[in-house]
Amino acid sequence: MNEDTCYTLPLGPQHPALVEPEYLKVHLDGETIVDVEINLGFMHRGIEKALQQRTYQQDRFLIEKICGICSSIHTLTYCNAIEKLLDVEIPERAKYIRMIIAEFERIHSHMLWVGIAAYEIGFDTVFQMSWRDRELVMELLEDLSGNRVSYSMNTIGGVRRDISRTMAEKIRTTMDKIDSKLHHYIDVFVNDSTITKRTKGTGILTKKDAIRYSAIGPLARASGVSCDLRKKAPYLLYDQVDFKEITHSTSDVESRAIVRLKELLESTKIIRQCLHLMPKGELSIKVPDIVPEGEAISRGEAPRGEIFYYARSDGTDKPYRIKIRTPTLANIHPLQPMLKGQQLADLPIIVASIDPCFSCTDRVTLLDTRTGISKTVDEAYLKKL
Amino acid sequence: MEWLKTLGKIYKTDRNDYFIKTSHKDIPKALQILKDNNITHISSITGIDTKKDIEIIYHFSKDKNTINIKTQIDRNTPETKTITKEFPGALLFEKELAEMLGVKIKGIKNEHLILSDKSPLYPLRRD
Repeated sequence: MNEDTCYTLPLGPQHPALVEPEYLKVHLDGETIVDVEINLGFMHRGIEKALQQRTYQQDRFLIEKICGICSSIHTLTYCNAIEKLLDVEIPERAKYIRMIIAEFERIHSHMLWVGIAAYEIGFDTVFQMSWRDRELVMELLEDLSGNRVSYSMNTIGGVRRDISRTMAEKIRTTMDKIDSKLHHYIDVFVNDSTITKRTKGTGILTKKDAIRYSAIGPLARASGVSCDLRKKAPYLLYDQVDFKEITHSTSDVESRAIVRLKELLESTKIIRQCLHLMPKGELSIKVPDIVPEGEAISRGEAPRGEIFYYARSDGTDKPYRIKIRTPTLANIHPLQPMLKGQQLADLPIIVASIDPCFSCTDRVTLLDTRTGISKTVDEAYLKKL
Repeated sequence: MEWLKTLGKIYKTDRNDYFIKTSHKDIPKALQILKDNNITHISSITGIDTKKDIEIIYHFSKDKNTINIKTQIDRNTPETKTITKEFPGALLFEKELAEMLGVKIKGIKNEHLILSDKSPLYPLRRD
């Protein structure tokens, strides 16, 4: 690093477009990024501590609030862990409903990401269109659960709401519509030069680095690492449905877009199969409030990658320890090799390409280390670069 | 999975999750065994205050299996060596462990990552 020509760019922690802020201190040589320092914790709410003070059933509601986008996969993984501790098997119908909701969540999360990615490279039409089309699945979620965000479908022992025959028909029709939209977006992301000029060859994470930094989810799969837990470590009834794990090997931002969009086509396939295979029957079983002493691990494939829960019970109605590792925490560290050597103007799209639960470039200060003069610039300035 | 026995005592097997207890001094050896057996992914690190000591559980995974290596360290002077040399992805998990339970991690910068300066010290301690 040449100290005479180096700048430090404090990036974040606030951004109006996305919740969950984060702070990146970017060292620049001219316009080129030479190093990145990461700072977290601006949204730390002490949830793991709070979980120890509530009962297992109360914890379910708190866990639902960890993430607004993937609230279902959090409760799903938590319930799986507690059901392991209780040594109970939930009804088959409940398993299929959990899978359907989890795949709905993946669709609306990735569609949201498509919009964010387009927005970060200044392509607002695609941003507006993808968020419009995302509404298709948001409406289904609202119809099914009464809520757009915290669906509260999962409970320890099963699910809380059923899917009626009429609803199943509506879901099938909507999935067909979503499929045709997805083919359009895949075409746009692969062929539109406005997009490919910004995404091809940008933010490379080599396969070696993806493995080295324990990257997960679409980020790792876009670097050619096979890591979809629905295939690798099937939970619920993912081993009963036919779908492909999507990987791509170009390791850049475009690759991440392709992986996300193509795996949504698999999601709609999974949902159709679930509706077909779902047997009639109970939605949940009654479980005791007291959980026997023990420990359990549960993992799930969230839209952003592997989600990890560790639960330990001391034989009471409150957990002794719940450890949660959300996907973004695992994917932040790989940002360092992805950003090094890249241009400052590509930083927003590279950071967005990990689909983080935060963003940052609302207001930044540029500090000229040679003159000591600092100037504050806004997001619009960065986008013009 | 016979080689798992060389990591320490397997005290629980739950479907594909293996729980192994090992002494703190044997952790470097265990890490080497994991590397030799092509384990590259660390899922998380859990720290638990049992009131008697601090338990650290390193959660590794490969395909359908998770390998959870538990070790105990002294509660009054909790200290351990970083595993980021073998598993670079563990960095943020170690920093979280340090802040939440006051475990000193030798080999990395022990600066605030998550908590603010005004937060209570080591919130997951059961004091």
